[in-house]
Amino acid sequence: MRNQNGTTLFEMLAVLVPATMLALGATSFFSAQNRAHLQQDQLVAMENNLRAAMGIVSDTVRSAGCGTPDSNLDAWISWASGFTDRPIHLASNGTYGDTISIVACTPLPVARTTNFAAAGSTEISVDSEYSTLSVAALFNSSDKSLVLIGDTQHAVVTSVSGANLSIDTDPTTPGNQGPPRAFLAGTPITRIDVTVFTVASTTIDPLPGLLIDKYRGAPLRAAEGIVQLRLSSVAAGRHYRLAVTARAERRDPGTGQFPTRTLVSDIHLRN
Amino acid sequence: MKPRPHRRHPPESTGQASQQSGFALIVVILLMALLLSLGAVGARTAQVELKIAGNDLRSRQALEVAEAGLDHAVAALRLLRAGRNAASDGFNDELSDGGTSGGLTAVGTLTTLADGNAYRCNSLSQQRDGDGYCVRMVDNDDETAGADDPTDDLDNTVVLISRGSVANAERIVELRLTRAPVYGCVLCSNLDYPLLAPDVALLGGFSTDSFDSRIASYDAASSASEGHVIANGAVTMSGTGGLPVTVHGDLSAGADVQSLTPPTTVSGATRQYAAPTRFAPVPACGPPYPGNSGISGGLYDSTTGTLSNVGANEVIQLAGGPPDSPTQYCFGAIQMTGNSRLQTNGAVHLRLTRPSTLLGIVNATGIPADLRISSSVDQPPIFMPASPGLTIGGVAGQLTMVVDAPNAMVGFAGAISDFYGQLITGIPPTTGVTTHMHYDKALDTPQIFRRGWRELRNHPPS
Repeated sequence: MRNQNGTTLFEMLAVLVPATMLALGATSFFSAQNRAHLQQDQLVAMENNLRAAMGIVSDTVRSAGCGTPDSNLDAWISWASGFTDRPIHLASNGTYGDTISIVACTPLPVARTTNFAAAGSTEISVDSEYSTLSVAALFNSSDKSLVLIGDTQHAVVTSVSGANLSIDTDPTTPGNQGPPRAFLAGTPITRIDVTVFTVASTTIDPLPGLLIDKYRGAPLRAAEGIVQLRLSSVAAGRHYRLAVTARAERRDPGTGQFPTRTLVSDIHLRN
Repeated sequence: MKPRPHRRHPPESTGQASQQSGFALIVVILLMALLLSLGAVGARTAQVELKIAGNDLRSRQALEVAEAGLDHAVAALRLLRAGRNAASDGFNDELSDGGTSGGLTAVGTLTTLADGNAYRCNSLSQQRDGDGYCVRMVDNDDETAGADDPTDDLDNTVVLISRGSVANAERIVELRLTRAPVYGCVLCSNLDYPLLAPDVALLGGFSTDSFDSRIASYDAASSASEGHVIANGAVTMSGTGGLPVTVHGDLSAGADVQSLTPPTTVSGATRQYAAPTRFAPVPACGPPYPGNSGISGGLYDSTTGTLSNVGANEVIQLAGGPPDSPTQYCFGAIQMTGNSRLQTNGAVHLRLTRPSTLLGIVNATGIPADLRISSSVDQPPIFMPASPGLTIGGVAGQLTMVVDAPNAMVGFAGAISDFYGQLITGIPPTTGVTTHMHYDKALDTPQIFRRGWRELRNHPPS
């Protein structure tokens, strides 16, 4: 009686064959969709990295020269080499393109003078503009030493003692020289930094990426998958063309190649 | 015989059949839920990506809008209009009303933003409400004594702040502006020496008038009477040698004006004991001194910042730039001798920090504003200077330039028959002035230069 209630072989086959075909089709469809999704995901991630890298580098290039001395940058900047009169210095980085060094000011004043500073004074006392950053964290005699007092007077910080800065307004003359004019209490002090953009890979991160080096320990990895950075001069010192190339993490199964994208942006220096 | 039940429709199998249809329904529902969730995740991802791209786009647009605000403000400031940005007190007219007045009134409507500051705001037409830029001007830290006065521009330098908004994105940029002062005088004498009388001696053969280089070169027949003389000290006029002293314009003096020997003529008003005109001091550009790469000829020592001629007849050439972006040179001193010449071939701003002698000066463009010589030499008005802080000589007695040396004595090397432009000096040579001076009305248009740009971002530096 139980056998009478079962299905015949023919019925089983009639169900299993189309069901298997459907399952195979669905599996293949889902597999293709999944692969396409993963590839698309990779491309989206790559383009996000590319956009981020382009944004960071182009914003900094645009600001190059902000607050910097007009010339003799090599005399003012002791901790980075290669600068002369222009705030952008390029060096070859092989197949990764260029290593781009840029001199630019901080986006806001980092400190203010707390007392009147007479003309010729080589000591100024300052207060940090940030509750989380002390004067010692803002200035030193190396990579945080170039400052713009007010909006006219450049100086090199030669030493920091508490809230007092020893300054030299002429690094080409021995000894500390004071500014030729006086500054009132509350005068803003902007710091001038050097930022280096380069592309590199490491054993930990074999995929090349954009590194930002501010001469403060290990460079920061700002964007993954950046394989080339090129900055070429269109009009000397005024107009540059920035090209950034990114690569996906995995090869395209169809072509066997790494998908790449390049963004190009023309940048007119504002300073 | 008991009939065999129909296998496909067994009466007892009704429940089993309904179970089968229920199972299929669950499978379909599960599949649909899976597909829907996949679709929803995909749609959500696409939505987020779209939002990121949109934010990125609007952020870039906001930066462009903020830049447009700066451009609009600079263009408005460059326009010469009655009562706007034409005074000799720097940007003071713009700095009033919280940095929104003067030439900035043309930028937009007065609005107080959330930061509590007043701005001139301009909405972008055909865009959503709130899109546009707001601009204000802030004085730099130019006071060196007393208290800071944010409404008083002492050094012809200010900062423009522009906020650009597009939808929920805002970018803020600032631009440092400097301007060539507009004093409206062809001979402008800044200092009043208490032990020196007179401060300005105008001798026979001295004359002033005006022309407009934007319209035509100087022509005596069509010259105008805006060759004003301003002195903060005493002035004497002596028609010596039978030659007259003729001022085609106003004569204003901080002390008395004496006509010692006729004929002397002042076509406009003569004012004695006038309120002193404030001539902005020239800041020192060095040391250190730059490479000054545009020099051809001569010998330049960047350590001392001194440029000098090598041969007695040498021509030193200084490369120039466009009128709105002159090539900047900074020297400690220029020391020229013999028949050497100094030529410029475009707009040049030449800054000096020590006493200098510039000979055979030729401004190839013929436009006074294209050669600006600024000297920061300070010869305090205590004793008469032994020698000028700046000596200038021309070719065939002609000089075309603007000299800005408000704290130094300026003297001429050799006879200068015609001086085109503007001479701002501490005092002219004590031996007197016999030159024909021609004021260029184009100098009344404020020359405004962009000097520093940065985007303001409120995050602590590393």
